[in-house]
Amino acid sequence: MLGRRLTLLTVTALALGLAVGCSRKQPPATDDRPRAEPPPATENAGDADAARRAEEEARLAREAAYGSIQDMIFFDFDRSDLREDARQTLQTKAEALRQFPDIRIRIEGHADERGTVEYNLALGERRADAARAYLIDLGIDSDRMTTISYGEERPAVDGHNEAAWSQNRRDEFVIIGG
Amino acid sequence: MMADFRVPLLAEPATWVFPRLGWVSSRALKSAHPELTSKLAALALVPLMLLALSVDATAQQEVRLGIRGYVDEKINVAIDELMPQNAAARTVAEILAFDLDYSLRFNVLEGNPGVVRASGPGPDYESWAIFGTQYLVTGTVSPTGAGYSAEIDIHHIPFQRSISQRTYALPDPGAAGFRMAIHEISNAIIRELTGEEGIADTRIGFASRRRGDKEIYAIDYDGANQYRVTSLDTISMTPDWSRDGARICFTTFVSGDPDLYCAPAGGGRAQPISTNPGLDMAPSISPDGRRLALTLTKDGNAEIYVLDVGGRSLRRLTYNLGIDTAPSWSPNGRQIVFESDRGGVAQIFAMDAEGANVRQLAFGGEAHSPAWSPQGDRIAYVERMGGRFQIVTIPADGGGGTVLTSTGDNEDPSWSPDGLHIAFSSTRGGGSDIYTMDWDGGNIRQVTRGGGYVSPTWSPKLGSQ
Repeated sequence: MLGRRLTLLTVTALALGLAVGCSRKQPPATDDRPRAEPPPATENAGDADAARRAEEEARLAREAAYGSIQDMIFFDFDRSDLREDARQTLQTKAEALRQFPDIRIRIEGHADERGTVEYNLALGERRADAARAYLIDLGIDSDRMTTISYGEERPAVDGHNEAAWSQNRRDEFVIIGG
Repeated sequence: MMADFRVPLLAEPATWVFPRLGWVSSRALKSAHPELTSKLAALALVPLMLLALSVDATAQQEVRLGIRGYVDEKINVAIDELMPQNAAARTVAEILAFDLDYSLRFNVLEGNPGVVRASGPGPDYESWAIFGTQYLVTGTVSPTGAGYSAEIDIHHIPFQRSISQRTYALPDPGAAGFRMAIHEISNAIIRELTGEEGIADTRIGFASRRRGDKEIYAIDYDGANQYRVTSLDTISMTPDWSRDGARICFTTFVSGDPDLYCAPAGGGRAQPISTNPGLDMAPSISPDGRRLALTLTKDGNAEIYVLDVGGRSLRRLTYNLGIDTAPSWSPNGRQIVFESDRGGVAQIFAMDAEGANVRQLAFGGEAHSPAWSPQGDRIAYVERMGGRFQIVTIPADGGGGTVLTSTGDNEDPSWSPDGLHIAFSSTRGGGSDIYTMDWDGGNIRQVTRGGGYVSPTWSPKLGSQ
């Protein structure tokens, strides 16, 4: 019974994680809360507008931060060292993470379909660890990041060619709190 | 021991044994020339021998690369039509013929060539002898209240007498155990005529990929009776069948983080075995069943450990910055073969079960997934060649490799318990399916169909489990 509930929870969590991971253009559901609140009643319409504008700006800033935090990074074949483009992406991420210290993330390492299942699981973990280590170097608290590897099990792009493989050798960054 | 079982043979004169090229699997013959089997009798023996030669050559799809023979001399055995000629009797005959042929210890003639009709109470020994038959299986498969009763006789043709009569109870053909009960008859015949243990009562476990998830399944070694072992609705992968046959252990994401679980091999509730932070993967159960070699990343990167299953103690075997994974036990439980990319590219290494005496075994290209043969003398693994994965075997004490496959990507070799066959996954047919082949790469047979099947693990002998 407990196992069944755990399974459901896991599946739900994974589904949510994937949904967040796939829809970075949309603000996450948690951001709807401030927006849904009615504007405060006040006699000064200008103040209300300013407050609304500030709120909107904060929302947009947070949305932008979510976006850059969720940007994927990519790896060369059978490598887990960070390419220059990946480092730049991670530096942008680090700024966003510093700006919103309440945000916590799960780094998911992935591999392309070439190679064995077991090796790719280990390789995906290395890739997730590489991003985590670099973010720690950039000053992000290690407690804010967890890692997991999916190996070759969850390709982003179907296909059996370099175009697909290059998109599948990646780290995904899933916001799990904040 | 073997000699004891061969007593009926006594000292047979070599002269009466037909040259092997006069024998061809009736299955191959039928598939090539279906109309011929009933007319065999009309053919003179010399044309038959020539025909057999040509059929054999075309039926062999991949070239056999003989390393050395594990089976010295094949025995010519014929399986007569079983009486009465009902569906159950035909199924019994078909399964016996498949199993005996598969065992690599027999040349099998299935069905009656036509001229060989019993004139008296026993078979027409002299006619069967013309076909080079050494042993003949005859019998009846009769309905009983609860299924069928198979009375199987084995005859020694040169000595013109029955050497064994046994009765086997078979469940209803619709029952789950029907085919396995017939496989048991095959094993009894193999034991009777060779003194060796057959593998007809084995299954192959594997992972099935569907919609991003994977579940563990199993199937009879001949491709019948596929069933589901896990229903965890997540990624469950890389199964390993315990040497007592009772459990299948695997890596699963059921708790979110990849952990090791074991489930009853027949299906049922999976129990956690190893649930460290990070990866718990690549289980390999020791031959005595007491230890589990596995890969953990809890201490930084992928290292190999041995878990004492009873005492729950954990011992770390490898210490380096590379990925060390895919452990596989030697049959005596004293050594472990594994893969490591400590030198930059994944390669095959072996070490003592305590982690000492590490040595590299294969020196080719990128290599993965080693599997130590149950006979102990060879190790199968996967090597990348020209961008594709192929199955290779090498002597366990080192030395040159033999490439067994050439078409598509071929991965995850797993030995049959007799060490004469290898299960593997291959994309030769498009999607990834499970296949088996002989130890030397011959007789490639497709076990699953439809694609999405990976990571085979060959069960031990299951008997009536």
